[in-house]
Amino acid sequence: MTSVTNIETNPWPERSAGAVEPLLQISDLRISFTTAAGEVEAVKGVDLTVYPGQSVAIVGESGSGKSTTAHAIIDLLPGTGRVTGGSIRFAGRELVGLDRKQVEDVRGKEIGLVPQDPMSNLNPVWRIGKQVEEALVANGFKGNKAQRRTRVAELLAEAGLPDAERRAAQFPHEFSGGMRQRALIAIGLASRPKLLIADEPTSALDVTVQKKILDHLEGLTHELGTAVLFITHDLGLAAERAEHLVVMYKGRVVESGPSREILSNPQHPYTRRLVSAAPSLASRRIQSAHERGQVSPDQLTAHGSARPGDDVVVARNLTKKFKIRGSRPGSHTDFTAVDDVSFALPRGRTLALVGESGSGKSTAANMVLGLLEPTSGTVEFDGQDVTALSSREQFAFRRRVQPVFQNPYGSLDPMVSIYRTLEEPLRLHKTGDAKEREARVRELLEMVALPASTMRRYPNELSGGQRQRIAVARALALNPEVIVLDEAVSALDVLVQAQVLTLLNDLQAQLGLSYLFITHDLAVVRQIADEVVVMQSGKVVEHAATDEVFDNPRQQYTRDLLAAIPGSSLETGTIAG
Amino acid sequence: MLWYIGRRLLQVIPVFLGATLLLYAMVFALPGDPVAALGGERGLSAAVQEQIRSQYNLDKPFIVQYLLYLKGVVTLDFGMTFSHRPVIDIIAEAVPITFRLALMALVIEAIFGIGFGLVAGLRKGGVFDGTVLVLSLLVIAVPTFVLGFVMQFVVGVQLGWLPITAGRDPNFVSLLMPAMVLAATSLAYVLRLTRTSVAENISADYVRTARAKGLPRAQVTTRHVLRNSLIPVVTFLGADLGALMGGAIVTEGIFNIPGVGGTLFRAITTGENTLVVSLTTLLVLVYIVANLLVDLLYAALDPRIRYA
Repeated sequence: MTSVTNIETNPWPERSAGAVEPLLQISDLRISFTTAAGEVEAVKGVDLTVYPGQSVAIVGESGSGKSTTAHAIIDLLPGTGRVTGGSIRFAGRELVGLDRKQVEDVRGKEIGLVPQDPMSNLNPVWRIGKQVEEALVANGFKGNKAQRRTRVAELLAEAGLPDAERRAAQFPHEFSGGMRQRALIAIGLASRPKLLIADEPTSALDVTVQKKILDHLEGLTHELGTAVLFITHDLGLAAERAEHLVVMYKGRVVESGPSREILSNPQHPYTRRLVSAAPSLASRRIQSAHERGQVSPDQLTAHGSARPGDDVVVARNLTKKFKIRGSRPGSHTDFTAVDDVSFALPRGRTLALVGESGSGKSTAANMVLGLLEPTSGTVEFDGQDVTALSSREQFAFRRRVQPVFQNPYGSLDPMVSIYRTLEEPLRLHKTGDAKEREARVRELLEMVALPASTMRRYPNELSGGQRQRIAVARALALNPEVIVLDEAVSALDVLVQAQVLTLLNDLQAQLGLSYLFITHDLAVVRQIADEVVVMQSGKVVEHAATDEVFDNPRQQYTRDLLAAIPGSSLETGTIAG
Repeated sequence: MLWYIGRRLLQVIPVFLGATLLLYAMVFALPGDPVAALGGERGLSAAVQEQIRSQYNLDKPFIVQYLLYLKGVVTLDFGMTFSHRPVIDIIAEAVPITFRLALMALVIEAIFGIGFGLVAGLRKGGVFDGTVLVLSLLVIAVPTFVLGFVMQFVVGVQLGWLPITAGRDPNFVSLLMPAMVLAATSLAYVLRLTRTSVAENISADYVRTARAKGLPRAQVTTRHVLRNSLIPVVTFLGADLGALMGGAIVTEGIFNIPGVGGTLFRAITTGENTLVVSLTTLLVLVYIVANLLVDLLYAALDPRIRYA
């Protein structure tokens, strides 16, 4: 594996405190939000120091207060949020309590921001160049139209956007996610700030794009001598990109120190859990799902899964073409989303379909689920062609193949109680009477390790992890043989993700389930899958056993994907799991 | 884009045919005999009635009447009224007045609706927001004629600031009060739409990015909040132009304005079928064109929308 950035060769050595005046010093910062229930303190006394040119990462899960802390620095707290105590000193100047004009002077000019979601952070109605230009003009760039345009093109090119001059005249929707993020980096660095706040700058991007952009950002800020404050939920990424880590949990800093030290010797229990659960780091140690799940051999044979050649789902030469409307009425071009893809899911095993966005993995999954009709090729379930089923047979088929989708917030009906959610499939398939169904709902909740009282609640009363457990329980309701997990853990925090993966693994061992696991995250694959199919632009580029793919990737694309996993270049040493 | 406009314009043909046929059939089915009513109390002799009927083709079957009317329209001959005035002359007199009135109303509702809506949206939950919301609700609830009479009494009679009625050949000042009354309800809707849109956009991610750039507040508000909030508002305004033209009947009645509304009302009561159909068809066409303009404007306002 080619390691580009290694902590050993980090270009910024850890600075000794006191030798240099800190650039940013946050002490005892408190931030509250006013809600209907009164004041809620989101940040409870945070201390943080960033030296000139240093890179510091705040790591924490959603709700830990990491983004709130960062936004408070440039007075961009959302809604009712306000600083209730403490101080933020920047370059010897107190930032808390500045008036609007003074804060506007600091923003952009002294402190830049690269926001989280490139899709929503550019104004869709203005050209990219115009939006970069605003950042120049607002911070005192003097120059005529031609000079401004030249400078904008320079900045975009510097952020790694090819063909910058032409691109500047385009609108955000003509840009890919990675290109938008480059434009946002150009905006953040336009006026050469001393500090750049990078708020999860690449969490919405594919891993390979993420790596390229972070490498570029690192080189650029180093060259300009800009200090960087990273906000991230990914410990591996934080450790790889920053020299100093600050771990936040529930509004407090639980641990801070040099990245290497925290990674190899975490002190706080929360940090320890985080280090052991981080898929990017843990995947080095975890072997196949079977060993981890302690599946006894007789259990497997009981479900007939040990027999070779017993494949519950077989996809043969699957192809899906979509028509794309042309510029003239009636004209169209074919877009091949899935191109001659074949794979087999052995009974009782987990097959992972891995690829970046646009690789066709979800389209393939939808064809397996019978939700999309293939243009050509077949999907066989238990020897039967899924595409040729009558509506009655399809109804029976649905019962045996169940999906779990990515977004636990979108896949549960907010108006329907958990009981009804779990009972509905049973009722639809006329399983048992009311009493038996209730007993089954209790059993299902127990399987996913939720209390029986959950059944009376509604989705909005549950956390993301709990909701995803409900989604798993709903998929299990009808005793299916195959579960298609489409990015089922991607939206969850690492610790929750680890729990759900363990749960899925245990259930597989208990019930002999077969999983088709769709994901973009190779790190997760190592923890759950037996076989991996790597897809790129609709085609299968590599198909092998999981360990084989990780230890001995044959294709360049797979190697790139592996190298792009954040933290893949880090050696964590021995960590007590 | 040209394909799209062409296709939309082609759609005008079936809409025009359908609308005129439907209107013609409905007017034809109206009870009462307009020719018999022409003579008033004393009545006309059977021979005269016969003559008028054949002159206006009223003795022919419905479908023949309709086709003759269509033939006239194609040659820009909209026919005559019973008093022998060409229908086209009456339209040429009434439409510009109503159009001016509707345009003034549109400008009033755009300026005040967007202005108040922006301030209310920026200070959502504040005193101004609350006051404006209650007032707009009041305006929506009160019927147009009540508002019209109250304005006439207060602004026209008591204060004497503006003329009470418009009369023949109205000028800008005399149309000001009618335009305000006509605009009132739509203004309330524009205000509420702008307010909601602004309040939503103000917490958008790209607005935060704009602030993080160091952009002064005024520029953030105009370039990022207002610009994006106007997309739904402008669509509403465009579609409203058609509604204002057709919906001015009550206002024109109150202020005695010889526009489309009054003319149409009289034509219906006196059974001037050709005039009714012609005027109504014209309003239908205004709707179609206004909607097409809105769709094109939408694409201009939002670069993500491209018609093919």
